[in-house]
Amino acid sequence: MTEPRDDRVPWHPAVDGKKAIDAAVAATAYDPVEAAPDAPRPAGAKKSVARYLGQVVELEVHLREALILVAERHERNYEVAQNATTLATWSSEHLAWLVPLTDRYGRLGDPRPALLRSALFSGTRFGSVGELADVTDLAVLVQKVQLTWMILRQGGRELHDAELTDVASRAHDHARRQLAWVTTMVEHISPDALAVVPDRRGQLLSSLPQRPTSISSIPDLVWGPATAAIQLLITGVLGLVAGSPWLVPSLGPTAVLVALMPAHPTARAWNTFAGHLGGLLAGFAAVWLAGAAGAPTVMGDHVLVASRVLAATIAIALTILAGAVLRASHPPAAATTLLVALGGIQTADQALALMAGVVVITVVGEGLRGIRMHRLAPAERLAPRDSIVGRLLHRI
Amino acid sequence: MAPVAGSQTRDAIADVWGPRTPHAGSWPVRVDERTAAAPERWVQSVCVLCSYGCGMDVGVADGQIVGVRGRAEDRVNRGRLGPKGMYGWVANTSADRLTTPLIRRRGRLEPATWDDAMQLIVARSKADIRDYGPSSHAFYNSGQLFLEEYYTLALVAEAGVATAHVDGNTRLCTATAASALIESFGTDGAPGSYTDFDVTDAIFMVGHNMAATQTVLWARVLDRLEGPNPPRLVVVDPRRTQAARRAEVHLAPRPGTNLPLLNGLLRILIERGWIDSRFIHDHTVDFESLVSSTGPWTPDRVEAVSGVPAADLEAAAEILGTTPTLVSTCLQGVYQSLQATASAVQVNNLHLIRGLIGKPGSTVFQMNGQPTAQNTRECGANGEFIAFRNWNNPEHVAQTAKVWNVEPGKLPTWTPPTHAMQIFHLAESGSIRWLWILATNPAVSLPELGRIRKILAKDDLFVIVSDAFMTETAALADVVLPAAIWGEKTGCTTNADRTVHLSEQAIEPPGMARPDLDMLVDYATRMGFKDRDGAPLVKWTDPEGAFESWRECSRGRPCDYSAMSYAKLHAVGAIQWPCTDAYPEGKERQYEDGVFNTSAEYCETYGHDLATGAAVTAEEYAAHDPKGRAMIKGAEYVPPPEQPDGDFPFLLTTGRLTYHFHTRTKTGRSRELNAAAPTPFVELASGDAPALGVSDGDLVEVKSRRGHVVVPARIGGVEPGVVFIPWHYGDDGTDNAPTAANRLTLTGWDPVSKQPHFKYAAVALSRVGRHENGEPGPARLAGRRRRSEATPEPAHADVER
Repeated sequence: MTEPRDDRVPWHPAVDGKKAIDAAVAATAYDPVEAAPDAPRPAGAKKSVARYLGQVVELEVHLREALILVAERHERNYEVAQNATTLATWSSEHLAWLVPLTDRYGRLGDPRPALLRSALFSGTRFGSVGELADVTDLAVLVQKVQLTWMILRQGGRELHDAELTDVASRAHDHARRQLAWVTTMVEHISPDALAVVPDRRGQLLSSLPQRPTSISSIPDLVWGPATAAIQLLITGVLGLVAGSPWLVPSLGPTAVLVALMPAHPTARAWNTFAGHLGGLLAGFAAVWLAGAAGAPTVMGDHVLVASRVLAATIAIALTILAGAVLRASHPPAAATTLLVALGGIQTADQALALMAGVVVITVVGEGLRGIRMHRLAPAERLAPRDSIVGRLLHRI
Repeated sequence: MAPVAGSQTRDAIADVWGPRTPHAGSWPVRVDERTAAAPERWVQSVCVLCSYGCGMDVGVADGQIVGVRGRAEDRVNRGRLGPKGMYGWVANTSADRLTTPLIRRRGRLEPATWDDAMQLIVARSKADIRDYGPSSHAFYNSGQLFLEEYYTLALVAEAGVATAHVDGNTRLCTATAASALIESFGTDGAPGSYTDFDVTDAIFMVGHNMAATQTVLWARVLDRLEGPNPPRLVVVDPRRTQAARRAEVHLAPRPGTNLPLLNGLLRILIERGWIDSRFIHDHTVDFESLVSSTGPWTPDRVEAVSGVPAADLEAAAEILGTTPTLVSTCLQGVYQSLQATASAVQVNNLHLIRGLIGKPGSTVFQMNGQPTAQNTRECGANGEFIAFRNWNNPEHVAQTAKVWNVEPGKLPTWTPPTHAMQIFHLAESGSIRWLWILATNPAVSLPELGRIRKILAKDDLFVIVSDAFMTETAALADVVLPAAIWGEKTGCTTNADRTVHLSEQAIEPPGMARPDLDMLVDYATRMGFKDRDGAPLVKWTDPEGAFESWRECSRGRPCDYSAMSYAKLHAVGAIQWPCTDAYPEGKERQYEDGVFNTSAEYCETYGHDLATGAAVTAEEYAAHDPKGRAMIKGAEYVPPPEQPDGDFPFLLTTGRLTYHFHTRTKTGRSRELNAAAPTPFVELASGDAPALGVSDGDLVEVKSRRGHVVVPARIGGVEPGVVFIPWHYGDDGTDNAPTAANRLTLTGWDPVSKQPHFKYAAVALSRVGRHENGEPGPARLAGRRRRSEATPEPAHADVER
């Protein structure tokens, strides 16, 4: 080459790449139906619509992420990878369509889609058996999406909301087509997955990630132990440096939860932090209520007395209530509260040390969850942001 | 190699298309002939070096082929032959033909007897079926065999082994033709006839470099262009091909943007009312889907995405929207690019909304890439069910089982046949352990070559290759079987306008070479495949026996051969299907009454989602049974899997040259053809050359995310930002830099037809040096290239996209 090329050019210099990409993206844009502003609608309906809008937004976000996950995991099976990517752009499209509707109706948060998502796509998945497991999991999500759109479409008709009806009908049709693709894939893959003696090694080798970014492809068997250990190691080392007992037994379940169920809502940062804090406070409250402040401790004195039993009983109930009030359910917090109720933690210093450990593990855990869960711009790794695919995946 | 002496009626290298015979209405005869010595006798045959299917006689002397001549009475070519036809036959007499079976021992291929080779194949086959099931077996075949061989292969694979892993290399060239015809008209099979070119008022070529790939058909068009009332010509091609030079409007879209372009054209037609509302109402369904899918594609948007100026688009739309008759053709520029089936279907839609189908001068050709690709599809060796039947229709399965006398449940109809790229994926992952490759060379022709070669070389994959030559693929095989080829065996071929020819045996195969039909029958016998009464599954040992069974099998289907016979084909020469008692001489056009093959009980599939490839279920189809109406299917835009960027700023497209066919297994062995195009090259735009510091003949490294090649440059002929490399060439087998274009291409395929994307990959270019003699080819080619610049009708090596 005689002269250096400008590497920032997103396309060939003779082609207006940006204009081409803009036009291609615009061609898939939705031409909105005019909303009829004056249609009389019952006031109570607004909140109900907002609830289902919230649900469908959550579902589409999870579906988009799941499709990207599946595309990445099975990138050597082009059939799966390419179509899953295309279908992810549809979910992204739906999220863009939803914006004017949520502007009008608002939307209520809904944790259930995250619960559903956390039950799916886990474990080690490679070869045709892994493909089959992933596409059948997709079917569960897509079906939920399709039905929620149907609910919204029916509501839109009843409310004479032309825009809502139109968006829901189109999205419902897309979901139907997404499900048809999943069904077709199940038909294609099943004979190979069931009837052919698997060559595990060959399948594993042929499904290794082509790019180092495909962290979703690392099996739980490797990811789980490694990241649980990392969480405790960092917390412990920082505790050593600080010269304070930051490592407490109740951080163990938190580390396991984050390592193995990163998608589960109870593993979120807020749940971890507020959950343990709630447990801590509930424990102290229970000790005070039960009058167990001076009683022998279970761990130290190796005896069990009635006041400690009463404290533990009150503590666990209060912890669950606190979790509900704070929207921070976090099962490991139950261990924290028992630690206090049974006398393992008695002073403010000890409580502060525990919370310091919680803060560290929350920060570390959230980072690991982000990596594993693709919270960090999932689409970015599948396609550059300035490509057409990238733009379509990033519409919202 | 080829004898030098002899005579020829014309030099088809220097003048590819021959002298003009202008006409309108009926194509005059012009007999082309080339002989190396005086023939003792002429044997009736057909040319198998492109999909056009010219009738030819083969001259024989002393038990050798000594020449060819076009058959004057043949409806396809009226005596003409193209350069490949005139010079390619010498491959039969090549000294490097395979003449003995080879078995790999201690890493080397060593000569063996037929008995040893077949015993090894059968022993491994039986063991793998026992240990891993029939789905451990796959057959990857070709568009080069004869009808009788495909039919036997389908029987052996589906009813003998009972594996669904059967596909042809036709997947690379013609699968989209089949898919597009099925999606629109209900079944495969061309609606029209080549004679439609003789009377039409306009021709629309989409991604079809006819001048290079079907040279005799292009001669037919040239004769129209120079005769009275010439047709108006619209060409869609990113390269300035011969056809593009003759076009009234040439649209040069960026690779990968066919669908936006076609949607834009259809949008203009709909907007201007250039549609036949009566035909749409009476003979089609779902016009609304087209209105909504084309809606976003305004001319400005099409221009931004495809680079085609809006004014050119309007000009093309005016021709296509107002012409009273129209013949359209599609080929690899559509089939091997993005959204292949969706785009090809839009060309069908053009004819449907204008009502221009099923009448003289009006039809759409979804062309084929190979001479017998139509037979691969008809016979069920290309992933379709036999005789255009429907896998998902129990009645159709029962019909086939009855003809073959097997239990319907034995046929693997629960899943669609595995397509070529998936066969290799399953071989990679270890599911497929026994792979028979017939008459094709995937180690050059498949995308992402490095990966394919690694798979073929795997220890746990047993590879059988039957071929006439030691191809790049055969070199990786465990067993190589020497095959008889065209001229050395008898069988039928069917071309892209449904014309059936009988290619009769002219000479004996060399050495121990045998026809693939014999190998398949031998395999089936040794495996002990039986029908449901315990009789041998394959009930024939010769081609005519296979043809008789096929006649019965095809009865009642669109590709009905029931009133054909070898005797009739020998007497008449060329017959179009359907050939039935009602149409004993064959039928020239399908769908003349506007009734299509779409009724639920007759159609070939229930269709697919053009964006995802999701199959439509029987219930869904029955609920909207088109009952004989054609299906208009709009298609939305799907973004490309890869896109040029700062690192890879050019778009690569690949294609064929006039003088070669596929991986040059045959044409590379003709001195004339090889001399005309001996080496690969990369073509780039004159505007791009200075920035890269590249001048004509410089060696250039072309790099993609998957591999690189080093080839000499040719300047000009493509739009800026686009480069072109012919894919015929493998690497030269030495330590020299690689030259196989498919090292660059990506693993990706159309969701419906599963045809791989050869026409679309992002690449980077850099100059690495000077080619040895400073020219992209030897002197002869360079000389003709120079001449071509001086003359308005150059004959330089032209290329199909």
